[in-house]
Amino acid sequence: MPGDQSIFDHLPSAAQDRAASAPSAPRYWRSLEELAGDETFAARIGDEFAEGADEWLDPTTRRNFLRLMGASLALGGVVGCSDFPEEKILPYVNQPESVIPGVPSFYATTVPFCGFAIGALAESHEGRPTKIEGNPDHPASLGASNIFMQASVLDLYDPDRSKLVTDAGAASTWGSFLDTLQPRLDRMRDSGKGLRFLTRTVTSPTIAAQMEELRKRYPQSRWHVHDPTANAGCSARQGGAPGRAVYDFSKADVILSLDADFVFSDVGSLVYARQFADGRRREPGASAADHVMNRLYVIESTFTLTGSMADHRRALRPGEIPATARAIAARLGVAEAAGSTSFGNLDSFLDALADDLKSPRDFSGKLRNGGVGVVVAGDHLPLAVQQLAYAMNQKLGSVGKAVRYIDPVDVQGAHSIESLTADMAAGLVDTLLILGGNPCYDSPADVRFTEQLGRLSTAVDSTGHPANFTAHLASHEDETSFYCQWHIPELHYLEAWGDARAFDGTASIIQPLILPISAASRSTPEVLEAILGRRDRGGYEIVRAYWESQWKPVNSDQTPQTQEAQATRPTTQPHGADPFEVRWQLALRQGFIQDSAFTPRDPGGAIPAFGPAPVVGGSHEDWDLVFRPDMGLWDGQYANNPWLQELPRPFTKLVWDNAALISYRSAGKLGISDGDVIRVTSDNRTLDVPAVILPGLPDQTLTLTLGYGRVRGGHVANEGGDVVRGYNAYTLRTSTSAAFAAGAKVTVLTGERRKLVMTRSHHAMANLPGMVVGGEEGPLKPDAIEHPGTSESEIEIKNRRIVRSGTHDDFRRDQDWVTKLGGENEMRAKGLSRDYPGRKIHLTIYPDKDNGGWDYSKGYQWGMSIDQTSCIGCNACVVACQAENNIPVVGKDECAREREMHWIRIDDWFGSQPGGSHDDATDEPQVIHMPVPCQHCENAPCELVCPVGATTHSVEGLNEMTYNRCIGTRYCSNNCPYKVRRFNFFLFADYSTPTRALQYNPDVTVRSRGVMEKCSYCVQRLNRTRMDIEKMTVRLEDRAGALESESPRKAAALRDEIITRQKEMLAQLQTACQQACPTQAIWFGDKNDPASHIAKLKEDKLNYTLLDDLTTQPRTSYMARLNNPNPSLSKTKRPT
Amino acid sequence: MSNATLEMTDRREYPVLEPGQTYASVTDQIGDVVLRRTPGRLWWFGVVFTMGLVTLLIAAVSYLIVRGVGIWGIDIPVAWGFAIVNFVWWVGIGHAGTFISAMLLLMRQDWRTSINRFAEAMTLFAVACAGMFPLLHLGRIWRFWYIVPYPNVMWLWPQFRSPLVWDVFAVSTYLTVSLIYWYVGLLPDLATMRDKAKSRIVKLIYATMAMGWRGSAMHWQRYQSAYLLLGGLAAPLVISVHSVVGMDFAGAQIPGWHSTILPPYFVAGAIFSGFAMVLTLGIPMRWAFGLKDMITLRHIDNCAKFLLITGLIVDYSYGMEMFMGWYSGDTYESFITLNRAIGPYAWSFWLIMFTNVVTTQFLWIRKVRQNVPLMFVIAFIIQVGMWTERFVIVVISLHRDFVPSSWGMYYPTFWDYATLAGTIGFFLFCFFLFARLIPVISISEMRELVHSTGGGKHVPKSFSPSYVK
Repeated sequence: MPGDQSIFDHLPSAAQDRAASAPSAPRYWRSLEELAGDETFAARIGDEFAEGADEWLDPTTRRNFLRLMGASLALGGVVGCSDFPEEKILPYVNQPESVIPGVPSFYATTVPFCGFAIGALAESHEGRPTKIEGNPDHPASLGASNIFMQASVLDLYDPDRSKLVTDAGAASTWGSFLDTLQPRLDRMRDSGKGLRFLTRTVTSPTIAAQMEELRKRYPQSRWHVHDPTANAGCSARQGGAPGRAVYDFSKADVILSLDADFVFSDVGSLVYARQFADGRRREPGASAADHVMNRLYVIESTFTLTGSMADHRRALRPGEIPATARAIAARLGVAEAAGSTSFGNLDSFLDALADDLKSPRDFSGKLRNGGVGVVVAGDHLPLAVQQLAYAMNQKLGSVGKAVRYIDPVDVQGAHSIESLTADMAAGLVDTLLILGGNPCYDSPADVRFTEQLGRLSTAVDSTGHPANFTAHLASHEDETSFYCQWHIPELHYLEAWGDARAFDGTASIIQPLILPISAASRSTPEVLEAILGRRDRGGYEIVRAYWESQWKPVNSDQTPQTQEAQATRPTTQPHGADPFEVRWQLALRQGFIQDSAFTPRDPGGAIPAFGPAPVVGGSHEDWDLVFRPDMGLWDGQYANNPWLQELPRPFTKLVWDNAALISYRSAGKLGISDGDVIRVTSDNRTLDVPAVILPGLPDQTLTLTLGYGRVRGGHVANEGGDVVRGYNAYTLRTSTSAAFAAGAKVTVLTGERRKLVMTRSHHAMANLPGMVVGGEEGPLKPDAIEHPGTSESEIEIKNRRIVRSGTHDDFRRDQDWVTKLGGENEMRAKGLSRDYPGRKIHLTIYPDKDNGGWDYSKGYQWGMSIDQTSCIGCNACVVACQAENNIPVVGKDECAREREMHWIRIDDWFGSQPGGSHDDATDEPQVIHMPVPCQHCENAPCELVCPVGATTHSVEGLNEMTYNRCIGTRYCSNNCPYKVRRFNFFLFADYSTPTRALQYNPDVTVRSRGVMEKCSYCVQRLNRTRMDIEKMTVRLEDRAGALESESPRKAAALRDEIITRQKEMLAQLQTACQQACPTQAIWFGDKNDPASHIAKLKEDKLNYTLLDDLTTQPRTSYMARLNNPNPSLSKTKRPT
Repeated sequence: MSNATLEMTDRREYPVLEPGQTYASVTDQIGDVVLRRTPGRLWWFGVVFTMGLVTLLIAAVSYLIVRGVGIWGIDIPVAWGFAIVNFVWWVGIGHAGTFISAMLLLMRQDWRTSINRFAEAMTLFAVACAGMFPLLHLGRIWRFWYIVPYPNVMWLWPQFRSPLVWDVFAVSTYLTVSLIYWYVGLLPDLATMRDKAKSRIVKLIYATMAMGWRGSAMHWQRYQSAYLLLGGLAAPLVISVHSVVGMDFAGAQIPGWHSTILPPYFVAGAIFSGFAMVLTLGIPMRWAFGLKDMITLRHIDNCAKFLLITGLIVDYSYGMEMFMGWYSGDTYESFITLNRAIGPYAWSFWLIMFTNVVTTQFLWIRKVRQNVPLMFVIAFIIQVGMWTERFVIVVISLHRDFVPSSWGMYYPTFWDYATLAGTIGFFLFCFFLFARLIPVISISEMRELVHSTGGGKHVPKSFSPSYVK
């Protein structure tokens, strides 16, 4: 039982030792119930409480009152013990060898996302995990992370997590749960009639094996899977599709995305985003002619981050996408799609696109050598489109190159929630275990699962006892727990052992870092194991035993059970070591099992004939609905995570709410603006939602995001009470319309508005004709994006030179276009005076370093470069920064007052496509994501005005905050042209939630009320690296000094080594945002080292600084956005 | 005594002192306000009402200190709101007193005599109100002393490049000098009050405050040179204080703030609002305490002329700001100019165009200047206008600066209004007490005026007290 969970030591050898000695080890207990081992005693504790509560309803007698008082006092304490055992804290008597107080350790583990594995390194400070980073070795992470990984560490410490096993709402124990279940299982022996399991997507080999064993033991039991986002990029198509597609965008020259958000909403998106960005990235300093860029076409039904990266993007109504796919396939020569080539006004676009896919050309019009085009179809699209994509990829020759097909990674063979509900209605289910997930919230609206579950849970037999058995394993007492008889707290992945597979099949071990915060919590493998009759096995044993069974030496005539078994063993086995142990330790250390990715298989088979051509578009009266997971809360499982609630969503910058996204033209037709409530009716179901206008959406189409409208989500999800945040789009989503619904009706609820909070007025960032900015139309409209084609007069009137964008072609024609876009001032600042070529003109009256000014050429000089060509706007940096720097959450009301605290924000700028006219901007806007941290100006305006010297400049070029000195005049923020400073208007930091404090990074001050704060370039990381380097240098210098007399040559070699090592250590240094970034758009380093990557980036022709004309000399600079549009699609031909 | 019809038709230069006044009559008229007359119902109403506002101020400040400056409407980007608007407004009001008593003293303007005492008191109370705000607006008010250069073991000093540090020096110096100057001017009158007082306790209090003034020739000789010297010291401060306040903004680089015109423009605006406040207070006071003989139409007319002059300077500054918005060719400057006129806070811009530009032009007309009720209304409008002008400068400049993604709005909260109302209440409360405890007009100087005008019979073209010879 729980004793096994004490195996949380992460030195695998130590774990092994402990496991081996477990039987003879003294028994420790963490609660009275555990000590007593008497389940009835423990159960009585809970019962007593419940009965006691009932007594209050009776007319209270004096005796009764006193008795109750006494019982409450006595038992209150006992019950209190059951979840947080009282423990004395002692300093280490024998300090573990691996723990140095103050120095964090990193452990490889795995973040399950939609059931799939993403490798992670968890940072642990004296035993408490504080931050999740990507695992650079893991094939699904490559060192990057996404918002969900970053925020998941906060979920661990969520004070709303359930702490007790409950039986019909009353406190109970794990033991009584099993004891209640056991007689049922005994009855079902060898049949399993009525026994059902409902899980989310499962990729875990361990759980798969357990399920297999259950199926053998209870042949009539059934396993059902319900995953609301399984159709949103998280799962392979099942049944007849050519398997799961795994892409390699590094090999793709032309990419066509059919409604696929592969840079963000896919379990492989960290890798895809990296490959995609690498295919566009330019080596700093490389000549434009040598630079090769891939080209991305996106045809989609809503605005995704992938769409924002497109060179050509078309927004189509969801119903039009299959037909478009078919038209493209016909153009590519897919025989089965022939005969349906015409697509109205899109024809010329599709012609050019198909031509480009077939024969990718470089900018000079030459065919690219080995260039290949690839088609990516969104996983939620109909099977026919998947098959078309497969056929197109075959035709393009990209199968095996840019795309490979593997077996489905998630465990197959489960039934659906629809069949489960039907069986429940038919009375075929009497024992239902819901392991994870929240189907009462997120199951399809037409399935009426909740109704059936409620009926199942409340039915009583003739004796008045519950007739059925329903249990829910979940981290919170949520909507589903409410309808189940039993609730079992679920372990967080940082508390539990487990395993999962990544998008390409790579098996990864989930390794816990901390003892369960509530001892009552269990993981899915532990529950299944207990049902299999092995109650006392903990997660560690289960997972380890599974892999041991897989890696047992197999006889040559036996076929290995999985692909891993075939994989090559590590060749370096220590002599005499147990080969399993060696492998297991390696897997733990790496976080994944080497070479366990699925091998591509030839999908083979004929492409089935396609049905009739899908209907093109919907009617002009009806509306289409697009369901997408929220880009913060996902499917709703993160609803109680304040970091994600307060994360400004891409494009809209909406926080703490969701809204129906509507196109500019459709909103105009309805006569609504942001926040106006509309009534959506689909299939006789209605939902009132506030609208938010977003350019670039198809007309007559609403994008509804899932994840909001939780009723039992917790204090964060429900505003601390019973308030429901946002609207629940699941109420419109049926099993047949998981991704899209057609034929919806929309009416405006006149006069009804909902207060939506958007942290940046996204309209202010849009350059759209007629777009209203802050209630004012006309000349106050900023020009959002500067293109090389922007006319001189426009530059003079509106140009703020903030976002600069051009095409690959622009850059090839004129290497200096970025500087020229910046206008005269920047040219002069860079010594590019028009009037005096070659003469350096200073724009500041302050002396430079030659005349008594500060010399920035010595020591480390930190700098950051942000590449707008790579940035996909995924927000990973924002959450990573929040986790690293103890940034507080302020809540919706404070966000509404523009007091959010993020140290790095992502500005999404809207404008026309390069070469496109401004009139196109509402339909086909270009969006540029610009992360804005503190710019660390060398001439920092904030420093000048601080009366107390609380913000000062370091010799290494950092603009630093001294919180203790700050008195909060806020003048620095006023004078900051970038407005990156954040002020603690109230006591925003959470000092009071006990578990919350555990997450705080001990290296960073938790700021109190009344002080200013801002991005520090993660100065705590800089300082740690500098200290490490200095320690290393001093140590080796000493040795070199000693060597000097013996062998000057060796001493010199050692000194060379010092420099090499210094560079290596510096190269390891990453800021939190940089480390998280999936596309490596953020780069940080010592710009004083001319060989460093950052120095090269700073010297690059695309490099520019924000508001250069203010001569603030920022250390953060930007690389202009480069696009690679198809020349034959260019709308306006600009003179060369 | 003059009636309204006479005022409207008579085009002669009004005297600074109505005829028929003697040494005794001025002493009695002024001194009796304090010593003889019982406070009227109006006074009690005023005191109780303003005390209510003071209570509101105490509540607002207490809540502020308990919760934090977040109770106000400030945010990022508008990190300064009402607190700074109020500060600048109050400091501005605090200008007229010292200007009247010191500048006009040096410039030998006899008409200052009747109004300098209460104008100086007004200055003190206004600066006291103003002085609250830089402290209250701090995120951590309990650390305000970090801004003061005091010797400490950490060798930490204020950051002298910041205009906020200059502010501390400028305002505190101004307050100190104004207080001393006012008090020194009070000495002979306090002695008079001591002599006239009947009650022993009152006598004792005034005696203590009079610091042994006996009115000997030696006293007068030293007193007058000290007063003149202090006047000379105070006069440049009038210019410096609001110049420094102007530099609080000019020192920043925010479009709308970053402008060399701000210091002189602020000084003119300060005197503009200060004279408006003198009229706002003087007109009711002269009516309530029956001091029409001493605060005559001449005073009101002269104040109005000052309003006109300073108002025109302010209007010129508005014009120059707009001109520079166009002429500089600077994106941000031209934007902020447009944004003031047609942005979300356009109401405030057009309000000040009405109050400070249009209203001022009426002062060209003598009939308007000498119409007492109308002047009261105009002075009040200018007060509102000058407060709004500071709102325009602080809020509009901040709410939309360089990077449009960081644009925002500022919505004041209840506590913003409560603090403003509270300081107004505090100011008036102090003024009500002052009017009952201290001669509101300098008795000694009025007696001198009686002497030099021969009881108000004739008015020399250029009069000045004997010690300014």
